[in-house]
Amino acid sequence: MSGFLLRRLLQAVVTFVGATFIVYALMFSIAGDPLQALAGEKPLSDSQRAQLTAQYHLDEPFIVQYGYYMKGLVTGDFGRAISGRPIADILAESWPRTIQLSLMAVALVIVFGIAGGVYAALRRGRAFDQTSLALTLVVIGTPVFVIGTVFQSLFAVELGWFRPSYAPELGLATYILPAIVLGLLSLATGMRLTRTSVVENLRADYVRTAAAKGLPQRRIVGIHVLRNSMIPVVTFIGADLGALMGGAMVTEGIFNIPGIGGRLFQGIRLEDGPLVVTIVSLLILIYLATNLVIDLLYAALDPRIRHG
Amino acid sequence: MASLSEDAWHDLRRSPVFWIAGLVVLLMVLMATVPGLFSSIDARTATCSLSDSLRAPSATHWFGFDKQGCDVYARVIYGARSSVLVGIASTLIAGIIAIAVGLLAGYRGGWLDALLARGMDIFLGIPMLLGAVVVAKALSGHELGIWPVVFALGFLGWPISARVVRSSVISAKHQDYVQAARVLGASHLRIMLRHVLPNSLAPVVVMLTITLGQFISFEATLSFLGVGPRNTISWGVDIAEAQRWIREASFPLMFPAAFLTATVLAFIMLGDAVRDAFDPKLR
Amino acid sequence: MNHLLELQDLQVEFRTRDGVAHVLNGVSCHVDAGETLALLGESGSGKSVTAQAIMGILDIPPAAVRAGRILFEGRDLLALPERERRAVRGQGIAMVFQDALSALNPVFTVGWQIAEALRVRTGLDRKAAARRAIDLMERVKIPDAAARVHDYPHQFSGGMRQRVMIAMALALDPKVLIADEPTTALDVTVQAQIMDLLLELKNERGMALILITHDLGVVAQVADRIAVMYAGRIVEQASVHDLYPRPAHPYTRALLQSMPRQHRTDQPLTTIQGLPPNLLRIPPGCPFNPRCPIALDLCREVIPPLITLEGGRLSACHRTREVLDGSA
Repeated sequence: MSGFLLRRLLQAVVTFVGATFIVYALMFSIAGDPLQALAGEKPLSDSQRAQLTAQYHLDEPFIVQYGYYMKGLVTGDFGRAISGRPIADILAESWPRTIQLSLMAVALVIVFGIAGGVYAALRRGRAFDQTSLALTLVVIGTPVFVIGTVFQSLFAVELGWFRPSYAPELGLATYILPAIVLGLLSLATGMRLTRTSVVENLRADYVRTAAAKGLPQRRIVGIHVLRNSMIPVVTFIGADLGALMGGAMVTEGIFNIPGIGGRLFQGIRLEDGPLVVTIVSLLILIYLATNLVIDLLYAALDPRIRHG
Repeated sequence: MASLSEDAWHDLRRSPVFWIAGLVVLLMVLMATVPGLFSSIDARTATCSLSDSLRAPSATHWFGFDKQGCDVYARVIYGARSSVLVGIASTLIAGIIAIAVGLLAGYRGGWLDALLARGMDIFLGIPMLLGAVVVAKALSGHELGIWPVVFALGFLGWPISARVVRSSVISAKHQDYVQAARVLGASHLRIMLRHVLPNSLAPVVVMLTITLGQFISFEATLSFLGVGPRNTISWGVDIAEAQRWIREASFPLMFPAAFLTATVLAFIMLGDAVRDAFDPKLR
Repeated sequence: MNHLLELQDLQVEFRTRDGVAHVLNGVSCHVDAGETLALLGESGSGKSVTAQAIMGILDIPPAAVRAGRILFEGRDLLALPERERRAVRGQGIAMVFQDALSALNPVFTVGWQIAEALRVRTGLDRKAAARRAIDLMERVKIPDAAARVHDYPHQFSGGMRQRVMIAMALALDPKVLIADEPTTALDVTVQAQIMDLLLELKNERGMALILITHDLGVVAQVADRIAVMYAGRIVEQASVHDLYPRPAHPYTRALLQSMPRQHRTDQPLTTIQGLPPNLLRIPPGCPFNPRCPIALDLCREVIPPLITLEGGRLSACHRTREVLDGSA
């Protein structure tokens, strides 16, 4: 178990270094002029130029630049955005909103995605199953920003059920529509995956064994089948987190939520390179850390992995 | 193999999903190549009049006018080109990288396989949309048209397809005819290209069809975010623009959104239908 | 007199996309306490479906029981409500499956799986059930049972895993134990150990044992009676002593001739010509007729009934007399 843990941890570190290196290299070297990449087409004053050169050590060789950048990331020294505000301040203020939003979205995915998938699998071929298969396919084929803008138009502007943009005075309720938008894609994929997994496991030999022991159907499905079916679903949730992060950027942008994703959205539109590259790198870090946790959870769920 | 693909084709011909999705894909490709067939107004050169701003759909202008007073129908028709072109070009790049990497990893195995697997992990460690934003952003100042987005998607979007190639290459490698070719003294390159590759292509083609749909979705999202292709008519840009005026009118948003979704969905369903036909296990 | 378990004219079909497969076409047999009945046949002969029908674990649909009765201690299991039917499983009739690796749930410890039935069905508390699981594992001769009770199925060897399956089947003290090809997946030496164990347990507990197999060698050592199945029918039934030296059905004879024997080298080893029939389109008449070397026109038209011969043995063949006395 500890060997497995160590190996996975090492892999995650390698992946993190590699992934941030690629992102950093893409940002600063393919464009030719790193200053332009950072600031876009905005004219830069000499003092801004000097500040950016110093902040990113642009007068040093590339690999040294990357080294400084990584050091800053790991030590929490994120530098300043083009606007001049320390990035750390912006992040500190934005995190809670994004966490509230994503937790709500994940809760939706788990409750409706998994429950819906299990129900569809048990009623295979019936109306609920057929309808949910068709609807989830449509959701999977619809880009998040289309779902976001259409839902905003339909449920907020036309029907008036929700506010069309962030309203902090509503408390958590302001996140309901954005959380639905953010979670819908994962809900659809998760539901289909759960359904497939449960259908497959219902056919497994161990289900017949459990039936031969005289166990009630409830217990066979609820304990034997479900426990096995959740193994691929848990891995999916880890892999899906990347899409969820991109989705958070789009969703928070559409609904004007000043969370991490919203800041990234604004950063892209305002051509704030330092803010964009820092947030992307941090999100990669979180993505990989979460996947590490998911892997451990996977090992906990599947003894065949644990005892190789 | 021959009988398998015959069976698959037999099943496909009877699948309505395959026909509907295929038809939509054909239609979109036609729209992208000869938009003039569908619209008498050339959205690239047409002058828009602010006096038409947000005018509702009518018999002569089916989809109405957007905020700038441009004909939404014409823009939707001409918007297909950017999506389809970016989708195909980036899928080609991703497909070539995926096939090269997957073939090498699966055929050679050993340390090279391990190394390439780490490489795939690294690329999978970059959430697709975030990575594409950074790439497209970094290149966006250079007036390169669709290429920054094509490069961003192709360069980041290959690892999952590479895994598909790798696993089918590994199973093809152990087939008798490959062993026979080896005994007969064929070179590794010849075995890889003549024997292993053609027999492991079907799964990755299916995967790439689905990928193409996803790339079109990403292209529109990047356009929506403001880092898409410059100076082209694009569904994503039009949706972003329409969203700003959503309190005044929703139809300029709904039409491009519907076309975009139909296109993405068509590619995903086409891939799904072909995969179902080729993989009887999933029935 | 009531038998412990008796099948009467059991008919099962599978409704598939390509049509209706007639899997069981009137199977009748019985088994009593302390007795071993072997169901012998090729794959597709219906022997495993018979076992699943008795256990009530057929997948319905596509399977459907068309007719017949399954009498256990005088009660027709097919007529019982699901609740009472379930009570029979495990406690009345238990089953050991062929491939223990897939038949055991991969994510639970073997101890948990053995104890599960005890906890759910007899209300034993967790601790007592775990103790009982260790006892059962010791009884099936798993070394170091107290430690291995915490291991997962994939950590056991094939033979040990099959012992776990047996321990699990014994947990509720069944009166009938059905073993479906219990040794097919195992090495020859391990096969013998598992068969010995099954026999020992049967004798010790006075259970009835139904052994499902395609292996004539296994049958000869352990069975009291043999029922030979072909295309969903029992074509011959006899005691081991009667059947081996003098088969009464050409199919049984062909099976015996295709079996390698150590002592008799005078006869050439033969294989049975042709394939078992497609259950979607069973030929008219005797289902064995296309492969039968002595088939008559009658055999292609009329299904031979299962008739009782001397000594109570049964055979379903128009030329059974000639087969018995060796003249055909």
